[in-house]
Amino acid sequence: MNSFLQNIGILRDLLDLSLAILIVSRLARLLKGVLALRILAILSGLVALHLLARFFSLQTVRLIVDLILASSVVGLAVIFQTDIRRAFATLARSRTEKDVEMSDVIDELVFAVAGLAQKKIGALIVIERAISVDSYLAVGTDIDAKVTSELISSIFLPYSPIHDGAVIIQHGKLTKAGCFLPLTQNLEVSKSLGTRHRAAIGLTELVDAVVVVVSEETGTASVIVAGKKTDVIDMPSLGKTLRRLVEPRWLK
Amino acid sequence: MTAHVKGREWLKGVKVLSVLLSVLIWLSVILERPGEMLLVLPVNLHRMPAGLKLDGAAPAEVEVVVAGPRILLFLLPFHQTRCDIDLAGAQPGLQQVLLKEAEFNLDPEIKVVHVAPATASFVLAAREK
Repeated sequence: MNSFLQNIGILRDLLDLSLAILIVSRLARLLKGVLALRILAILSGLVALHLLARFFSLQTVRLIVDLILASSVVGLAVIFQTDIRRAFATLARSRTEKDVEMSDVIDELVFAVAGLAQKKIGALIVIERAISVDSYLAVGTDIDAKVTSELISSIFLPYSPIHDGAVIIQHGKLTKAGCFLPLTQNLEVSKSLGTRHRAAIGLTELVDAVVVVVSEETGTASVIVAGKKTDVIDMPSLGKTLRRLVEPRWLK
Repeated sequence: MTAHVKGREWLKGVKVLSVLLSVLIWLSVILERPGEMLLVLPVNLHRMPAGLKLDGAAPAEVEVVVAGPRILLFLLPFHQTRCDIDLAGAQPGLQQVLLKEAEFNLDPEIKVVHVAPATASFVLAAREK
């Protein structure tokens, strides 16, 4: 009976440890970039220091380490607020809605991008998803119009007064144009990328929006999500990518 | 290095550090669990009043069972823990000292559960002039 209870105790400890590993690794994977690794390493160091301070009865060190560890929860929530927000938005996505028929908005977008890319006219198109982009936009002109390829193309024509900024699509409508977006502060972003790409990366680091960029130098289009740039090979693949990334409910 | 390879390395790093952090957190939890330990401690008589001496033998060792967080018990055998009996103010004759927690000078989180013998008995005699 005693050995049975002892085995139960060992199994419970192993289960406890396994679940702890699962929870920590799942939480860590929600976070992006090198900072996540550094934070994990720092936290491990602090917990190890706590153990050593406890082991050798170093009361002052233990007090300091415990204070840092206790306040690190708030610190981490502040540092990773965008990652946490993005992770929750991703969790909230329902897979069943993906099969719904594609909206006209994407067809119009693809058509506009194809025309702009062919003429080597630069463009920056933001499609809002679960998280609102409003608080990250500067300047801009309110439009509130149906998304049509003609409208998008005309906005980005070089003589248009609002061609320099980004066009914003919210709930399936073209709501703003000529908006300035926050530029990325990431030093790892290639220096060869221009302001348009940096703005797209900067915004997608903060919110879960999908941004389509047309380069005026090369006439190529790329899709940027969560700070990652993917070049578009051809227009059908752009349509496919956008249909995969943008669910119909975000266009309603 | 391609983004794919970088991503795989990042994931590997996250996995390793997550396991390390989890194990450390788990250790800090299980090492706080209460445990018991038997110690055999030497008896030390101190602050013997001038003019008195030990007549006969005093107990050399006592067995003590202590309880407390396991992390504090680990190092206990390596500490120079002993049973200190304060003889200040003692009079000649038979001394019977009840061995309490105060005699062992332990960490405040460690409690004495059992002492054998519970009382240290010895005789003090006046020194001859």
